[in-house]
Amino acid sequence: MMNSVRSTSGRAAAYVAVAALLIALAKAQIADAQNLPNNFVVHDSPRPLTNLQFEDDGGQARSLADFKGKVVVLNIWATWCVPCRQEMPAPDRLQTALGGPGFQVVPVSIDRGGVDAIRKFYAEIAVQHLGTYVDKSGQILREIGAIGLPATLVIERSGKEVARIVGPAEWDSAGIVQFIRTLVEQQAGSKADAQTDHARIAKAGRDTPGVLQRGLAWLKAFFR
Amino acid sequence: MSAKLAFAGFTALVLGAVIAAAGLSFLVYPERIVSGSRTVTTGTAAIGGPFELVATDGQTVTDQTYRGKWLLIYFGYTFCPDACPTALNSMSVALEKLGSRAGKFQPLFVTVDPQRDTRDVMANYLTSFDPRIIGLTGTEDQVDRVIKVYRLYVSREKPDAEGKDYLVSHSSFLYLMDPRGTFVSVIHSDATGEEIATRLRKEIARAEG
Repeated sequence: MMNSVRSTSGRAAAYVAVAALLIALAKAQIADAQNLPNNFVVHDSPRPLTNLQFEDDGGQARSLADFKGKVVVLNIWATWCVPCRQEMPAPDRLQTALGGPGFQVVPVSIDRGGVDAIRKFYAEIAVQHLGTYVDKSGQILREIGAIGLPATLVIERSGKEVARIVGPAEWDSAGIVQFIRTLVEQQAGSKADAQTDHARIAKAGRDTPGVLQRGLAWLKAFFR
Repeated sequence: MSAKLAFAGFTALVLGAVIAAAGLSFLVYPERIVSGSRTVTTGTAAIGGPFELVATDGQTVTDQTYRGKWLLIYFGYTFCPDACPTALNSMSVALEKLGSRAGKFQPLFVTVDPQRDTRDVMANYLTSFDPRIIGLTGTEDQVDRVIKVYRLYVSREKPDAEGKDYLVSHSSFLYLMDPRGTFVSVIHSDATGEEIATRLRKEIARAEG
């Protein structure tokens, strides 16, 4: 093996192979970043929303207005909805990666079992950073005009809806994360805000390596 | 007899016949003329009929089992291929909003996917909803019979090689049957609990008023 690598033709072949691999990884990274799911509907112009009502885990009345100033991913779900349960770790990872002054995932369950049902499920899947919100009347689903669960809206800082998905999605996939990051950056108000957001987002970017970085790290391991 | 007289006589006869006919029609369509109220036409579609299914507790039930109560039936299944319908949740909300009047109803969840929805699967699924909702399943033949008599639209894709994951679509309505087992109406299953409760109150009032 060492002999063939030392020979010129062997080395050239190795370089070509590595180059091809890097190109493939780069393409995958780009495709992944641009790739939004088919059911991710981005509206031509932001749509106004009524002030959606729900309760927090202390039984206090809350509403969408409480989150004005943040980009919000509003996820309507229920513990009896299997696709909702299956996707939930992804919104949690999204919150972990991007959560802060400029962004929040707000999951609102319509479980009749209320906060207890939510807490039990959160414990089962070891949720890290998602808040607990409930609307036992189920009215919130009608208010947003969705008929199935999960229903997720991407809401800009002014409280208007810019995109939605009805059905499950990989909320921490590169394409969606990039879409939200762009929205958070665009929406940055004052200069101070922008700097804080940029710093935090840049850190999030460093902390969540993409396909290319992971591929490079894998390759590096071979040449040590 | 002169022609004029004959003509006058003939006209009188025709007019008389018309008036008599109008008068007699009173007997044929009494509701339209006498009461002036709207007639409720259920048309020729005979929805509902004899069936036999198995409840989650193992009891065999038939269409006769629930006579004396209004039936609110949701035909569905527990597997969500993409987005999940919320009909059972809305039914639960409606039952709560009906308060004491909920006792007049027997809410049912009938599966159109008996292969996947066994008694245990149904019982487990129903723990998330109002405990008054009874889950009904059965053999393929028993369920096929219900699909037929309720004229449901159900499409099953053939199972794959492992017999897994096939789509079952269906009509998205709640079926309302009166205490005698007669079909009354459908309510769209996307209605909110509030809307369903309002509709049910109306139907009871109409029947008892």
